[in-house]
Amino acid sequence: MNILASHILFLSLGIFIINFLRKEKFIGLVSILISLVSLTYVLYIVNMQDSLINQKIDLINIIPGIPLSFSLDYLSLIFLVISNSLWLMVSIFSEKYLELNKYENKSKFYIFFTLSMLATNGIIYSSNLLTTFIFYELLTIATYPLVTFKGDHKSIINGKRYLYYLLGTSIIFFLPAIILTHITAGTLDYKIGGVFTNYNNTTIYILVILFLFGIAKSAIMPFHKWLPSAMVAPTPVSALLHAVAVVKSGVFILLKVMLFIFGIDVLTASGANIIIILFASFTIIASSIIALSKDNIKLRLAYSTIGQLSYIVLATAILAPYSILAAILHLIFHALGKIILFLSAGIIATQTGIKNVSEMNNLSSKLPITCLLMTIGAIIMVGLPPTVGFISKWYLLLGIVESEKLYLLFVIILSTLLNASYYFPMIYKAYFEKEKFSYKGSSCENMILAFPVILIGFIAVFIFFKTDFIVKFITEQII
Amino acid sequence: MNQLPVLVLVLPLLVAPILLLFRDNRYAYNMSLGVSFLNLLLIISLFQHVYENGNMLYELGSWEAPIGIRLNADLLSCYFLLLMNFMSLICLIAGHKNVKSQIEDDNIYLFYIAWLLCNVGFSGIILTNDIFNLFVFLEISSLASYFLISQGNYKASSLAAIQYLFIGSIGAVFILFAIGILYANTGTLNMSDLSNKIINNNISLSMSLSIAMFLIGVGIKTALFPLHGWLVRTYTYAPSIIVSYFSGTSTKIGVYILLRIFLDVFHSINPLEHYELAQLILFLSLIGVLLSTLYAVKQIEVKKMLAYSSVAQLSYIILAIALLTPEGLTASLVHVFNHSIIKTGLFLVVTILFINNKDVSIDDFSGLGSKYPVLMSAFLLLLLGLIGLPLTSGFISKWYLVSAILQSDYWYISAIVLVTSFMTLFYVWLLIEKIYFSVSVNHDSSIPTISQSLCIYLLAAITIYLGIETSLTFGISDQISTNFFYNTNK
Amino acid sequence: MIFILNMILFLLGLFIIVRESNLIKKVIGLNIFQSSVFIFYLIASKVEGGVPPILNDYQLVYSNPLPHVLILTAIVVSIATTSLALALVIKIKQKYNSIEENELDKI
Repeated sequence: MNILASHILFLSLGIFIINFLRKEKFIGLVSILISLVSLTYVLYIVNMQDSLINQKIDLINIIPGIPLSFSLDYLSLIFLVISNSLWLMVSIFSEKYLELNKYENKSKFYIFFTLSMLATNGIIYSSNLLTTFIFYELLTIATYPLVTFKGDHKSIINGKRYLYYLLGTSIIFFLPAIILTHITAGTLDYKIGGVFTNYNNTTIYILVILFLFGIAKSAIMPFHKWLPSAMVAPTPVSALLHAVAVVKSGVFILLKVMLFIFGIDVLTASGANIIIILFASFTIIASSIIALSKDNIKLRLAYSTIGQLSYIVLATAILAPYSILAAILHLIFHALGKIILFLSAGIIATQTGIKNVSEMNNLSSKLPITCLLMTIGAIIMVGLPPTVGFISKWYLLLGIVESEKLYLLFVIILSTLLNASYYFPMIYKAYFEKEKFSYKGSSCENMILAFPVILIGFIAVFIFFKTDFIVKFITEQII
Repeated sequence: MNQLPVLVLVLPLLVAPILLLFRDNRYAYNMSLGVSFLNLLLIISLFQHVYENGNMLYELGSWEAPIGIRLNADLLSCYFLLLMNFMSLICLIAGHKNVKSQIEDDNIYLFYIAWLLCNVGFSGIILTNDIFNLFVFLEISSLASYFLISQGNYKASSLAAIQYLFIGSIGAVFILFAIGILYANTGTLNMSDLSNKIINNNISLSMSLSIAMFLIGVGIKTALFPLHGWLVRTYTYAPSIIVSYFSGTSTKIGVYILLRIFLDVFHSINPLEHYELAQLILFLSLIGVLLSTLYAVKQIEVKKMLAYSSVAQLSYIILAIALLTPEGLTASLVHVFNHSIIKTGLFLVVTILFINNKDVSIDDFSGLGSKYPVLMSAFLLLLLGLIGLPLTSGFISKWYLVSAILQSDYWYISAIVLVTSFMTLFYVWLLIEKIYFSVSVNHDSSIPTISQSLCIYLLAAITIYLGIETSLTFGISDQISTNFFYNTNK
Repeated sequence: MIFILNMILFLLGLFIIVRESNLIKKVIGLNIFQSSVFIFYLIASKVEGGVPPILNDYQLVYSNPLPHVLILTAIVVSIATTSLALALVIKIKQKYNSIEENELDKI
């Protein structure tokens, strides 16, 4: 059987295994094992990529003419590698995190975590919009129990808001967008150059708006509120899902829709990409301003994520080759940086109980390694050299110049300044401010907890020197 | 083999008076169960035969049509027949414990006799090819349902029954009048013959009156706005098991009558298009959808909430028919099947768990997720099907519905349909939160027996199955609507 | 002309069902309502100069027996409905001690 389908099947098998495991001790280990095997699948697929690329496999015929089908292309390959490798790191992290924070009901956590990763992989492998939609909804449903994991009143309310925003936008906007595409174009498959052969501009405008709002996982305002609400979840959830899997799926789908459903020519000819550019720019600036006002670390990071996602969307919507390159690079680099930040925030909260930026005074004396990692993550986000964040920003600027939409330079510069102004206080406070409150918890860092984060940090720094390889790969294969 | 259509009708009719003679409750239950099961087997073989060979005719008493009464089992009839009888069987199995505790002991055998007669009425409406016979069977099923509703152990059950009686009889009399006008104009009562005789040229004033009368009568039966008020009131005071049974059957029989009369008998005139009645029905069902969804969101009592939800879903079905396209008809037929299964499943869970409660509030579901994990996950699946999540049958109906609406360019109708569909999330999620997140556990619920749980699991499994493999619902519906619109095989 | 009278009877019956608050009167209204439809059938089936449909050699214009048969069926249905309605009224009287609808609605 096709290896993509067998990967998904393996993950479902993994869920069953966790479900029937009674001894809580082994659940974490089994979950790490599952993510390891998943990564092995991915590496094997990477190895075999030449024989697998662009081979579509149809599975079940749900609606006549639109089967559930999988295929692989280079964009999916990149996202696949990132999400599964980061999953392995976060599995190791979660094991210790759940134990230290005394969470009960671990099996529920791991079942839905694995299910969410199954859904993410399903989205990556989808070769038409219907399959994407099915796994998209599955992802929403799978992450809900994780968001409401703590079970207290705040979690339930925020979980409800999370669900209503995501399900509501997908029912009201995404579904009619897909159906309208099917009616207009006759097919739902992702094709290079788009699927619309004859169209009129109004339909394209309507479809662009429907898709933009419907794929709310990319957190374009005004349908972004679910992301801050999701921060009530335990940190591994916030880190992997809401920095990598869920939000990147949203942007990934939006990217694929823009490139392979509409196609660059249709979007430029109809000028519909202006709509996307407007909304994305607004989101970038507005989310950065809101992030300034948030004291809670995770909320500040959440709003930063919203802004960073809109960078990716903006970059794609500019439709210049350099900017699309920037978009894909930022997809990778933001994932790395954000996960470092979230996991560090988790370590800080676990070891010292600090949840707000204002309490971060002199943290570097207590948790030096964590603060160093946080600094690296922050610099990546702001986009300064010598971190990888600078590279994606560089290409974005090149893309803006190439497309002659010079007013966007203003947006990028303003947002970078805003980013700096809400990230640097965190670093400054941690290193240079005098201690205000006393910290609870042990005074030495838990190395098991920190290890995965250190690993990711290393990768993030290391990649800076290898970026030309990645750039070459993307430019050759995708653009 | 060619006796199959009449066997489906006659077998329960024979059993009913036998049960009346014996007056034994357990015997009544076993016999009704047996005959329903036998009926289901007969219907499955009938369905297979009709699917392969085309429609099957049976003349009662060997009198040739149009003189005699004829039964016509075509694909549409078999589709509805399968649905009705399957739902009847499931409700019989799952409801027995309820019947024993809710209905007075003296009346239990009468209850099952009335159930059988109601089912005969439905089957008769579906199978007959004679329009007056349709009226007779309609009255048979209505009378039986009036009795069934009055058996609720609420104080207001008899009152609700008599109010339903008045409204139902008014509707039936309108239909009778309309039939009379048709007969006076054409001289025949056979539906196939009628559709040949009613030609497009001259629609006399009396024919318009007939069409209007039919519309009102059918509108009452299908709870079309503004004739929908009786449905929630009646379902509130009926026994819970009857509400489960009717939500899957009685609501859909009105749709069948609508289809038969307006799309089949009046085929050449196409009155819906001719008089712009379709626009009117479209508009009315849209209002019905909005109002009932708004009411459903405000409800605390679970049975009322589900009843309002049923009215909304029924309005979706009528809306799809009123689009007058093959895709619309397909969508409505798919949703008839899917919605019956989901709604009956939901009502059955409420029935099974809360035997003695009269009013089931949302709070009664507190903490049941830990008490009955497997049953509640089946309940969750059914609720997700109601919302319309992918991989459930509800998604399939929603896809075809929105697709049909968009293909007819009614973008604002599709917007309303999608928004109200999102609003079902509001009341569904209240239930789910109570079930899984509530700290207190409600210990007043009754423990379901194995057969009851199995029925629920079966319905949930069918919901998932029909969400993936749609050849039963979509394949058959597509064929039916192609037949209707392109008039190939009648 | 007679059709108009018949329609008046039809509307009268409907009015009584809707307007009257006493349940027995409503049942009477229902009967009037249904009877009006029966009369309609009979009116519509009148054959001028028709004789009872027994085969004989002289007359060739027979009355149509079919509507009469239909009415018989409908009358049976009407009787069943009426008797069920009256049984329900008795039950309501037992439970509520009143059969006026405006009083019943308040309970």
